[in-house]
Amino acid sequence: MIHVIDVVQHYGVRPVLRQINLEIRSGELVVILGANGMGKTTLLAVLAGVLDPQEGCVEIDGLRRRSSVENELAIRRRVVYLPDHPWLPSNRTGREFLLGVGRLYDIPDRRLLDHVERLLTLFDLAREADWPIRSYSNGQQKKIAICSALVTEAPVLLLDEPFSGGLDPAGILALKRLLRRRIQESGATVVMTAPVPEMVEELADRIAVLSDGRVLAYDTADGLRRHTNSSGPLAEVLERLVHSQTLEKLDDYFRGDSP
Amino acid sequence: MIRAIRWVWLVLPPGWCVALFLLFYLAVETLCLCFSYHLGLDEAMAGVWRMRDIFVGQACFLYGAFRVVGFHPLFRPEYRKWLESTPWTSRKPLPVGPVHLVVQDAVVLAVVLALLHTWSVVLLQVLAAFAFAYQLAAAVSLWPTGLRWRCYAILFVLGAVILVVQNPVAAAALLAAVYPFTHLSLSRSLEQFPWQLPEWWPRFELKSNATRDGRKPGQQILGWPYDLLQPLKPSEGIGLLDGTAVSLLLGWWAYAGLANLPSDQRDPQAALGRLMLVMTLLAGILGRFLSYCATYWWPISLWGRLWTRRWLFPRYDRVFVAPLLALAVPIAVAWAVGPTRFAQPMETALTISLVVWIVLNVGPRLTDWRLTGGHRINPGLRDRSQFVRL
Repeated sequence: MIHVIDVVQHYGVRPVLRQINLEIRSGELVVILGANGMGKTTLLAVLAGVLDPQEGCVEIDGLRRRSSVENELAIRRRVVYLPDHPWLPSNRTGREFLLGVGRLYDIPDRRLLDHVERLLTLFDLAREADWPIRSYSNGQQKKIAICSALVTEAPVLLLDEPFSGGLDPAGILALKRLLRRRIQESGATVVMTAPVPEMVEELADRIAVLSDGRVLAYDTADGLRRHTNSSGPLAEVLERLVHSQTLEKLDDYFRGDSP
Repeated sequence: MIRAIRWVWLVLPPGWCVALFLLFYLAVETLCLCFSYHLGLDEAMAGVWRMRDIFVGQACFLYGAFRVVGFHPLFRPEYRKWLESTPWTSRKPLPVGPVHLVVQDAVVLAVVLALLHTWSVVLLQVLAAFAFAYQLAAAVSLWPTGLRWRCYAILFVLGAVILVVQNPVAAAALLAAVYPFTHLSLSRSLEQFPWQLPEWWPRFELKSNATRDGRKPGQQILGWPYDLLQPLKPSEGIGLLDGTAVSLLLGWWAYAGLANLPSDQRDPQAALGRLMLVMTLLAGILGRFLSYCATYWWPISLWGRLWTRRWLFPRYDRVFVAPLLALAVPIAVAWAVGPTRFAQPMETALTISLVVWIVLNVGPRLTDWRLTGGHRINPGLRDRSQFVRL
């Protein structure tokens, strides 16, 4: 269970997150949706413990982030965070990297070796497994980064835009199915961000829509439809929730264009 | 003859070092002889000969340090790892060569002293240079292997050696007196092999061919976010007792160095004292800032603080307490003892001790700070050449 309680985050003058309250149940996949610059990545960074919010706090499985050394270490053992732009060790091979990350999370060697092998095969990286990461394409680097989060077997996964960054359709399919299975079989909790709804509609248990640092809505896809009196795809729901101004601006634009 | 050379070679530095030493020695000696021949052995020539003695003394100093650093498995990671995989115990000789002083060392030193072709106190000074460096390196090797108090004890005596360095007989006597303790401590350290070394130790190991792309063995570089958000307890930093011992030690060495200057040169003494103090302050504060704040940034910009009128973020700003206290110490000491006595050996040493104590011991502890501080973690200052950013 993840509790986000009254979180306010500034970097400078402008608040990026304003009084955010969220409750994410164990075994749930929650997608944070919103336009660029609305605070998705910041919210995920607060959940991951990268940022310490100016107000409010985050609790994971009853433990408050950064409240004590023991609590923080216990949270870190349960949570893995994959940022949008991770830094990968360029001279290590993909396999070495995955083994290193797995050992960091105390996965027994035999299980780790087997898991690494299966992940590399699943994400079509078996051939490149023993090449240095610097020789990988963008998409392959994205895949190895995703594999690194999965190899930790952490029960809470915080993934910042996992489907962007050059992931091919096979990779997207593999990740979607794998996350679903992890949730069903081991009760993992997944929180991810996404800028567009198409990719996540079938995946998300609940969707948090962020706009201007506030949670506009937090519900299932059907709940959001009811909320907006819409029966169309999630993109339409989001259009009504977040982008209503965009439609008005478009109207204004074309109105101005007419003779 | 060849057997004898091989026998001695066991403890000598690599051939190129020996060749370089001989080349330099011959050059300096030839120069000295030429000057002597043309100018005669007058007062001025004593300075030229002194140069040769200093050169030989420095070479012996390096040789003394090499005898530990070159042979102790602690400083050679691959050798150490290989040794760990063998049934070696401290009862057997070290395969690469002895780290304790042996007869060959006496032969090498005798040859070097013979090269000086003099019978004066210089011989004692050259021997003292060797013994000082050897025991200094040996003391350093004791810290990571768990014999920290023995390390401090030897270093305190070496501080006393600096204090009496103008009296070579006293310095040599002190070095000779502490040598049995150093010898026994080295043996005890080897008995405890394999060691549980501190996690920071690989940074100080000798680089070897097997270290690829600048990485030292044992160093985990998994990039962002794993290096900074790993579920392992980060470095504890130095403990209270060690921090106190180190601060006293540095103060003692500073006092020994300053008090050692001739009393008729008070101005240089004061200037050196001030320089030491400034260097300690800069190194201490900068070192502390780097280890605490390099990747752990303030939660909000200065402009943000001013604009939102939140002047203080106690969970972050506590990191400034120790540096500010360290800065305040010299001012307080200068105010207490008066400007004339400030920068005298005792006052300087006390100030340095206090500054180092504050930098090392005043909270927050590094572990607490990294795991519970009110900062934002920023990977931006890491060595980018090691990583690809997605």
